[in-house]
Amino acid sequence: MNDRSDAANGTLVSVEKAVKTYRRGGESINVLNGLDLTVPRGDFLALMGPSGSGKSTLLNLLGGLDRPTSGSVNFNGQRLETMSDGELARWRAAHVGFIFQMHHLLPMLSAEKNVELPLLLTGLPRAERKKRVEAALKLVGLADRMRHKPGELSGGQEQRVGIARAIVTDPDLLLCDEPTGDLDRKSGDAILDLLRALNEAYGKTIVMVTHDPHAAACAKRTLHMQDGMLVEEPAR
Amino acid sequence: MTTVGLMWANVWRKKMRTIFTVLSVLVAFVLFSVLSATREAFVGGIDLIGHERLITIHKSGLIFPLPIAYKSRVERVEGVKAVSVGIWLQGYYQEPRNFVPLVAVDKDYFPMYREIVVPPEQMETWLKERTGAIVGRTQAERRGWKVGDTVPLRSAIYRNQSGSNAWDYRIAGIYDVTSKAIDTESVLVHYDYINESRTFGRDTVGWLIVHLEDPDQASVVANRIDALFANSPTETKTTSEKAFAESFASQIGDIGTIVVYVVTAVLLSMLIVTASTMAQAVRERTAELAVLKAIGFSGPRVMALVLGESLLMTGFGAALGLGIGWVLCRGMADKLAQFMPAFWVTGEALATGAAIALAMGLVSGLLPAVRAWRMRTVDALREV
Repeated sequence: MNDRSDAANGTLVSVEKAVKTYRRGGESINVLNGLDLTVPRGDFLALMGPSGSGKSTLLNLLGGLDRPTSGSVNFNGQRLETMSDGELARWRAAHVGFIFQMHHLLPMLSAEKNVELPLLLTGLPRAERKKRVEAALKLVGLADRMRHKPGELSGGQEQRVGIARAIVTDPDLLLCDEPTGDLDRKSGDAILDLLRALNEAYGKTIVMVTHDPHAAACAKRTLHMQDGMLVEEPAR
Repeated sequence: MTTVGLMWANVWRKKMRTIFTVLSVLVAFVLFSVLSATREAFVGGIDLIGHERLITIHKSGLIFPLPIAYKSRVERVEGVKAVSVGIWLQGYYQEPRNFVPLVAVDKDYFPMYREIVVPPEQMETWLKERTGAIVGRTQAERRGWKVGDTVPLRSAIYRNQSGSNAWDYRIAGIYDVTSKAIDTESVLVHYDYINESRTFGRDTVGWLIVHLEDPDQASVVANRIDALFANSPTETKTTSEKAFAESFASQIGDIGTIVVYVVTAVLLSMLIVTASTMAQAVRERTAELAVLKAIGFSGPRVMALVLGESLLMTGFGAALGLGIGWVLCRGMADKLAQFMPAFWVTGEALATGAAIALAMGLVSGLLPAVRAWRMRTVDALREV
């Protein structure tokens, strides 16, 4: 499938024959072995698999944090592996939101300032940034915690701030790496509900890496990875 | 929030560590200010000294006198317009701690120094009165002396025929200056008055001041003067007035060089402290920096963030230090005026301090910043 047809047929991101090889010492380790993946716009895909199966590596390729050793990653008609580091940084700022297991908020900044961080790259005026930050925090249910610092929030609330930071630029693609891995069940469920709402109500395309079948069950489809290859789960 | 706001917030994430680092930088720059003022006091005005005058001293050094007869011989040297004489009296008022720069000169002195301004009627009085003294305005104001007052000034070197080291002087005039090269602390008295009554060293002078007809001929005339006295019991050494002033200042040590060494040592120590702080700060935040890169901050932008933090920290400490140093030196200036009349932090010193702070900020932040730039996001995230 070529790049233009990807964009035309509703595919947001696709990976073709992706191979990723790391060298550790004198040894080559193949993490991805000619992997193919298509993620349609509006999809909510869960990636499951044992540790070392290549889930995070695939997520890094989808998010433009890494390049394949061979093969290609296409996003809406753009070949990510051909972009320079600077181009990839600009592309990520515009099109991708990352949600991490440990959320990685800056501890000395309030929730609103953490959420504002990606907007510093946009050149938007301060008033517009403020408006977007408030909207994002309202959407994740933390409008009343805007001025709290991460240390004053619960784990679930911190993850919500992390989600607000991911969506504040209105990206096409959300990449989640174990978003509920560090949360209790109740907080985790709330985060999953939020992700589902972002997918269904706001049309965000989501790719989520998880070990938790309960979390994966919230996705529209689940793919299993093993030895750097994908195995699709039977349709539910 | 702005990018600078983000840098500033990062600077203060570990408050105690930042406070101690900023305090270290602050103390270093207070020291820099005070030492710069000290250097200025000793050598600051030297560059401003005119080129139209030469100074002739004994070849072996300023403490050896020259015969007064040399004056008339030098006056006859080709290229010499006029000659005056000077003796350093090491003066003080009442007690040795009340130091007064007391210098005996002759009537030819003032016409050579157009930078020294004395009202004509006061100059006329001085020329008529053997005990007359022309006093710098700062000295006169500090002591509360007025024209017409008679003040006894003592010499730490000479005694008079009556066995005392005090000479009474009547203040004939107060001088001001038009150049920073000359202070307004000195007391200028008649050479003849001192010479006739001192118990030793009679008919000698400490130095000759030679006014040139053509400043461009300075080295030629200096050679002529020294050649005139070559192979005599009292050989001379003639230099520009600027070189003489530098040599005079160097008698109490090469203040400028000492100050530069001390300041360099202190600032290098501070560089190590701030570099260590920055390196630690970046090491602790590997994951956060990786996240910034993941959400779209480019490598150069992350590098700029780290460098900016380093600049803010050193700049903040340096600005406080230079400010406090400036205020401190202004406060000390009055008390030190009699010993160091030009004790102040110049604009040039402040600019140098700012440039050093900038360099310190850049250098101390450079390695951690480059490390942050080159850090691979996926590796950094994996380490968390």
